[in-house]
Amino acid sequence: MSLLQIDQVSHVYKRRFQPAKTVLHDVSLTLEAGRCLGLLGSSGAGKSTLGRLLLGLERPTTGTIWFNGVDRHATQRPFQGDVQVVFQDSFAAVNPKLTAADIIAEPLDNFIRLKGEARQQRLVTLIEQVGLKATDLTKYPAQFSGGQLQRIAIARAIAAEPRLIVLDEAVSSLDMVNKRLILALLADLKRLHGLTYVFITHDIKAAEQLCDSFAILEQGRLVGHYPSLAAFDAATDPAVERMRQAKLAVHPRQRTIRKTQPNKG
Amino acid sequence: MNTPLPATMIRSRYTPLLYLCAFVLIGMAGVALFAPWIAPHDPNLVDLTQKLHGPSSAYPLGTDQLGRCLLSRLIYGARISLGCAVLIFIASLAIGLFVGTLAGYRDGWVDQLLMRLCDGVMAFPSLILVLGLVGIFGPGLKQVIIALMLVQWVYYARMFRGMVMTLKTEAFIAAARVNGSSSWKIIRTHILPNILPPLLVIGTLEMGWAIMDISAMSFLGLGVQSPTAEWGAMIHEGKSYIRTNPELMIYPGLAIMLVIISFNLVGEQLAERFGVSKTMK
Ligand SMILES: Nc1ncnc2c1ncn2[C@@H]1O[C@H](COP(=O)(O)OP(=O)(O)OP(=O)(O)O)[C@@H](O)[C@H]1O
Ligand SMILES: [Mg+2]
Repeated sequence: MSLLQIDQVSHVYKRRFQPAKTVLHDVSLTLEAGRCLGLLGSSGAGKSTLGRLLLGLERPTTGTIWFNGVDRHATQRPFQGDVQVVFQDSFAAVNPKLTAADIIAEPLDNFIRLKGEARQQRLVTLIEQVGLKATDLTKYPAQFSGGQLQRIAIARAIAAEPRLIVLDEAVSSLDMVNKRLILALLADLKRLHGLTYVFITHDIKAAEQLCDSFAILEQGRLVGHYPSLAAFDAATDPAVERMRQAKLAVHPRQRTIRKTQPNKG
Repeated sequence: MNTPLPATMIRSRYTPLLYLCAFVLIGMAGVALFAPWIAPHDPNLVDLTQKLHGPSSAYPLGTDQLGRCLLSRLIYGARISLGCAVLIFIASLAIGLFVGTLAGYRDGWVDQLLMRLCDGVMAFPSLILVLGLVGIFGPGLKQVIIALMLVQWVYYARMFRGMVMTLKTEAFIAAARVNGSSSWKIIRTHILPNILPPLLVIGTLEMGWAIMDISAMSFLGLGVQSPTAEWGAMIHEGKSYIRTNPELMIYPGLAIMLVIISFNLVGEQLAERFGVSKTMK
């Protein structure tokens, strides 16, 4: 049985005073445990929407997402900690008023409920696993760089031992050096924890470094699915070609630069 | 409204005037708190043999038409003005925070209903509405306070709703949901700490308004009833003596002016510092 099975999923955004907008059309995909799927596509293709559906932040309008054999949206509480997320903008993805320890502890406290010494020990282990120091636990987001904060977000994502992590442009805002370091970290953590990734990106290069299967979305439709890196590299169909050509033209949304102050001192 | 999050720390130049205003406010608060120890006389002690005296060592600011010590009445008046302003601020803030956060977080019909209610209240100038409510409830300090609270919370609700709606779309709220935090926990740990700093600003400005409103109601004879000492009521009582003894109106008038100006100047500086819009009304 596959870990993840996306079965003919369509999604329509309905908003007040605006016409309904169909952003996903009949998308079907499967993903085995321990693999990494690169979800490619230009801006507005519906990648993040698919990610939000996997996370349980949205319900599919039609179709079903099977996760580990159960319908992801059948329950009222889809958030069980087994699907996690790392967003593009690490500054927006963490509450500026919380310390790194509070940020990483959120899933721990909700799903695992460790107490006292064991909890503290777990926080130290987590922050060291993402390449930061135990002393960083007491710092506020404003005291970290974008790359360091992305590591905090990754520590939060792995804290409750999830099965699947949705990486939505998780390295797209980072500089070349950090991008390489974080990609290597993600590969290590995947091996260490037996994780499965859905890696959403515009960046073919980054996807090729991390992923072992690839899917291309165009205007909400799945236009290509390649089960291996070799198949993806060898592919000559127009969807892949368009992706390869577009890679210089499309840029991820710029990260907004925030200056925040920690709430003490 | 400028986005309240994150509080941009613009360093503004603190003028001596700001310190002066802050000093005035702290001084007034001290006077209000310690009125019984500071006031030279009982503010309600009538002594018709001493009426309408000029300043003397026994009565530093003189006496009113009933021979009561003006200074003592001003000191006790600070108690009512500041105390009621704080009460109105806290109460209407609590209601507004609750309603606004609820409306902003749970959009849909809850939001629609609450916001139409707010629209209804905001359609009238607030002083007119307060007047109308006091007309219904009858005159008295308690009624004025309730009327002001009933009108004021709407502005807070509006403001907090806007802030919560902006915050709700932030990625860290989505992350919190994915991480299994309940709505209540999200509001408590992620939303409230991020909307409270601007309160300092709004609160300061709002106190000025509340003091003005209470005084205005008392001046109209609808708020504090005699013989209780309150600035607006003192002006009301003094107005028959405007030709012979204008100081009966001038002293409480100055007190009101000083406090309101101080609140406004301090509020404006804080607004600048926290990058908060100060137009709530
Ligand atoms: N909450 C929403 N309400 C209405 N429309 C939305 C919403 N979120 C996204 N959309 C629309 O859905 C479409 C797909 O958006 P989505 O964010 O999934 O694209 P994407 O592939 O992730 O793009 P990008 O690479 O720019 O992040 C876009 O046209 C977008 O405007
Ligand atoms: Mg996206």
